[in-house]
Amino acid sequence: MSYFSLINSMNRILPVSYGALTSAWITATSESNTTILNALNNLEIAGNSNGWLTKMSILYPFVGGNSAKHALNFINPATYALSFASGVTHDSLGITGNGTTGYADTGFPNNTTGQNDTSIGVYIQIAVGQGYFGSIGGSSRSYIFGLGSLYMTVNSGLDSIVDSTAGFKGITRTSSGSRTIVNDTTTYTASTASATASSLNQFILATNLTGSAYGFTTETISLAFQGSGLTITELEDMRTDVVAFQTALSRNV
Amino acid sequence: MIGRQLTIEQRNAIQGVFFNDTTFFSCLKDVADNYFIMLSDSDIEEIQGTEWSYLIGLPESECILKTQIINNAVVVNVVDVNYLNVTASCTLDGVSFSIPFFEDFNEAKTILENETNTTITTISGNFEGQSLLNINNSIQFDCATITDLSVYEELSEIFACVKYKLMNV
Repeated sequence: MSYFSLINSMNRILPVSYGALTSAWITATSESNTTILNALNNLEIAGNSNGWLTKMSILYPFVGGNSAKHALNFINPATYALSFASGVTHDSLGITGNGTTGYADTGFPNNTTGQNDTSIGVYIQIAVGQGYFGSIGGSSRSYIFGLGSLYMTVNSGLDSIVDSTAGFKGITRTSSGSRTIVNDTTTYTASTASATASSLNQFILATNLTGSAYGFTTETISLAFQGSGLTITELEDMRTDVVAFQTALSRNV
Repeated sequence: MIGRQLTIEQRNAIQGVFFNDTTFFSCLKDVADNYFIMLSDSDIEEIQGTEWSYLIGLPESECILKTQIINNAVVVNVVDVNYLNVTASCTLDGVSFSIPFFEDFNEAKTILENETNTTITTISGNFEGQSLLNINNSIQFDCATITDLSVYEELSEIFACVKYKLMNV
């Protein structure tokens, strides 16, 4: 066999090419687990393809590891790193609260996104209730809060109640008069007028109630996000993409 | 729940202090005004070998959180009843506070009934800025007198305020 034939018969190992966000993540975390990196990269590809990723301001994928890795914002690891209060457990499923002291401060003021141009969401493992994400300031709430049923609202006063289940929970507002909820596989849209967005930081594993953590949960959260308003299709696509991401990490519920 | 009990000096030395780049100590106080720190397994891993590792060795004991203290009358006044701008102003043992919040009405009702060992039966007052509830070893509330769902929601918010404050006085 000639050298040419020999070389030509060898399997080619192509250099792995990751998207910009995944590459930045590698730089920030030194992550080498290819299962995690491929899951993140596929999320990035799908998010770009479906148009929701570029609308995100913060997205915490909680891919497993320690607090340093879980603190980082996938959209830009240099901004809005989480600060955790003691009591939070970090593992391959994400972050888990202790129901008394553990929560994460995003440092992300709710009104960074527009009153009528915002979306928030989480992916939860259990649906045990209490504060999963968000804040309550004045008459305006942007939170996902479980209490028997699940309360999901974004820049509204009182808002809709949907069944409490685990999985993807997302809500988007692109107008003053209505908002849309994607709760796992169900989509709801209803007229709920918006209120002025508060400037409170969004919390995870608790709710920021006028500056203090309230409603501590024992939930395990596998992803959390906030960005500008998504179309219904974008939010539904995001649900699909996030579920695929969780499945790739063997933690889809 | 089980936690590690702290002296006041230990609590003051760690409260709000970051023990790594991302995590700070958050202590709480139990019903007897003792301070506790709740450390997760992740926290314990992080503070091993640091100046705070002594916390791991502190004895663990039962921590009973403050749940409710109802000694004297609690008066709840509605100062702004607007569907989109609900604010409850309350007075508890002479301390005024104002916290807006919303919880499920039945949940709030059940909590108040359980915590006060009473049955909510009739309502007194009105919703126009007058005294709404008087909690003095009894709570009076009558769902049958209310027809507007939003009023239920506003009331639940007030109950939640009372509950929240009672848990934090």
